[in-house]
Amino acid sequence: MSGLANVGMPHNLREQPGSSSYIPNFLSDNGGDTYTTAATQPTIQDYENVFGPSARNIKDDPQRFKRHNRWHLPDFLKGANPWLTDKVDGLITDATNSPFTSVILPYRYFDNPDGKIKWNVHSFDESMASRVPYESAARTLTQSKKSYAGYAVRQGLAITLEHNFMMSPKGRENFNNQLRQLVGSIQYTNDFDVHVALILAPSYEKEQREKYISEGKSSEQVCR
Amino acid sequence: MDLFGFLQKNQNALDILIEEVKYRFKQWMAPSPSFMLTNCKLTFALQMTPERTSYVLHGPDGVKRLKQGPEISSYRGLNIIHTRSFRLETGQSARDLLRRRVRVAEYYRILPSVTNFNKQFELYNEGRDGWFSLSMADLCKMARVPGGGLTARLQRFLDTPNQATFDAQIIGQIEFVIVRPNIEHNMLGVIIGSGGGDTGNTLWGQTELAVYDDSMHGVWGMSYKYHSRAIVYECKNLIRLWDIAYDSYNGGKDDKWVNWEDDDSVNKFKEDTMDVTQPYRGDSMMVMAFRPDANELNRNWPSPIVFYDDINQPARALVGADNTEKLDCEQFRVFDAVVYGPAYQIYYNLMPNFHELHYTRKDAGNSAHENETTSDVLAFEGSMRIKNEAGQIIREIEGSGHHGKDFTGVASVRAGKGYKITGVPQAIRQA
Repeated sequence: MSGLANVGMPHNLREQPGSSSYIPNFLSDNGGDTYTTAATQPTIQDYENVFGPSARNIKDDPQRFKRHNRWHLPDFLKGANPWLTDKVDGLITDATNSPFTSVILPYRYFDNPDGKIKWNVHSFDESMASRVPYESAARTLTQSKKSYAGYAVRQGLAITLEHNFMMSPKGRENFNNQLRQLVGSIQYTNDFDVHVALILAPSYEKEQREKYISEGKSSEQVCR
Repeated sequence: MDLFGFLQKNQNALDILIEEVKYRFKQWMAPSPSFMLTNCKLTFALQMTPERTSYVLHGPDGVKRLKQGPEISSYRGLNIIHTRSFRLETGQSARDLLRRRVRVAEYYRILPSVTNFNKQFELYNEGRDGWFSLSMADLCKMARVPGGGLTARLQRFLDTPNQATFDAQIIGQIEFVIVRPNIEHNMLGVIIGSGGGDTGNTLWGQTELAVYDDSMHGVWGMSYKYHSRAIVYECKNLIRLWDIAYDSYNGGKDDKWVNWEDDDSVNKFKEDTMDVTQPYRGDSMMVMAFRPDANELNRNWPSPIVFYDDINQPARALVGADNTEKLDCEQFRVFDAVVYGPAYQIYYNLMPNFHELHYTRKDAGNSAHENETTSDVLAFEGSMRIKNEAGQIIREIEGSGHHGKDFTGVASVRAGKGYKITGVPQAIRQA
């Protein structure tokens, strides 16, 4: 609404919000037609749609009535965001349907990422019982235990978003695409990790060959 | 080597491999395999061969299978999972970690004979998928060495290879050995195993998504960090079968030869050979000439031979894609014989250090991960045809090495574009 249209109007009518150019027009959603984008003042709900429940704690910005070059992210939304973390975690572990991290080496949550990962492989191979003379001790079965250890690796990726992106359809679409890109990239990395784990895992066949020297093959046959 | 290019050499190869693996798992007392990780090209063999898609044999199902392509969810009780390709090197396209470059070697022996001047010796050129011929004059030119280290008579023979100049006795004493040490192909492998938590997990935790406001650049951002590690706990539950199918040919099996007399050629050959990070494009043939004593000549060589042989050291070689065994190769030595010794030593000194390449070679997993080639000091006998003056084939030696027999048309098979079909599918009555 143009302010010029109010010239000569009674004072009480001029007081009405949005009716005068002399009073800052807070509720106008077109910024007096000066914005070059469709960006508007985000509401709590707008923030909550993207950033989750923590948006409810946003306090009013005392500078909010000033003209903005850019929208600053409310302080309360900065930093770690468990709500968004859960969403992205879920997209990665449940929605990617990668056979590498579901069929071959399935995802498993572990809560001690900074510590050493240790695991043991126990082997209780069955073997033949042997004849035992009367009143003598029976042969003891062999068993083996191998201990392995490793560390988890910290990795990360980031995305860049236009300020106030959630207030325009293109911004939301861009956010959606970047989120998919992030999830896909992390799954891609995890798939790679599974490939590497599979090709670099110790060879049981080699172990067996080292343990049992000959399988009755000649050198020519081994070469083949 | 039995598994090298196994898929293209045998019908029902994947079926045989899968059953062999199941049997091996039983021997190891491991759980039955549940998945097969493979490049999608290998499932062509399961879905798209004429035997599986023929209308005569399978009716509309055969045609449907052909249209479906290589996608197949399970086979012989295994989940078929196709590998992904990953972009690992800057500026290079994504690559499959079960595809790797492998060099193998072949040798061709031309025994001394008084009639050799009347023969043509044909070797297979995989780059052009055809045969090329070498005469005695060609071989002499290729075997010449600088500095006259060979015996005077042998050197003179190589310098002036003319039937009229030498009497039959001399001609009948000259032996040639051709080695192609760097025949390189891209080969595909598969991993068969029992998937699930008993075999391993992708451990995943301490994820965090942080939101930030970058006032410097006027943007917002989200940073996602996580800890992860894919681990195979129980290696008994999986088996890797490397190099079971050809995917493409790089080089090393053509008609280019190392000119021993030219330092640039020798140095270039050394450089190309020692560079294991790039597909091989260098010279193929090393030609050596000898004049062994007829009484001590061993006409039957083993296959393989140790073609790069430090005669002062015991011969041992790592064999198997995973370097599974260190083999005593004494019986494969041929150049330690007195009849070859002095002349061989001259060629040996001009060759790249194949020993170093072989002994420092990584196992298949590491070489695939780091995109490096593996190579060998053992050479198997390759295919060669000998023709008489009239152009008739008077002897054909069939290769017994990694590649088996060479023939025109096999290049496309070794490029991963087809399978060796040994017979036409027959219609049969099924009960």
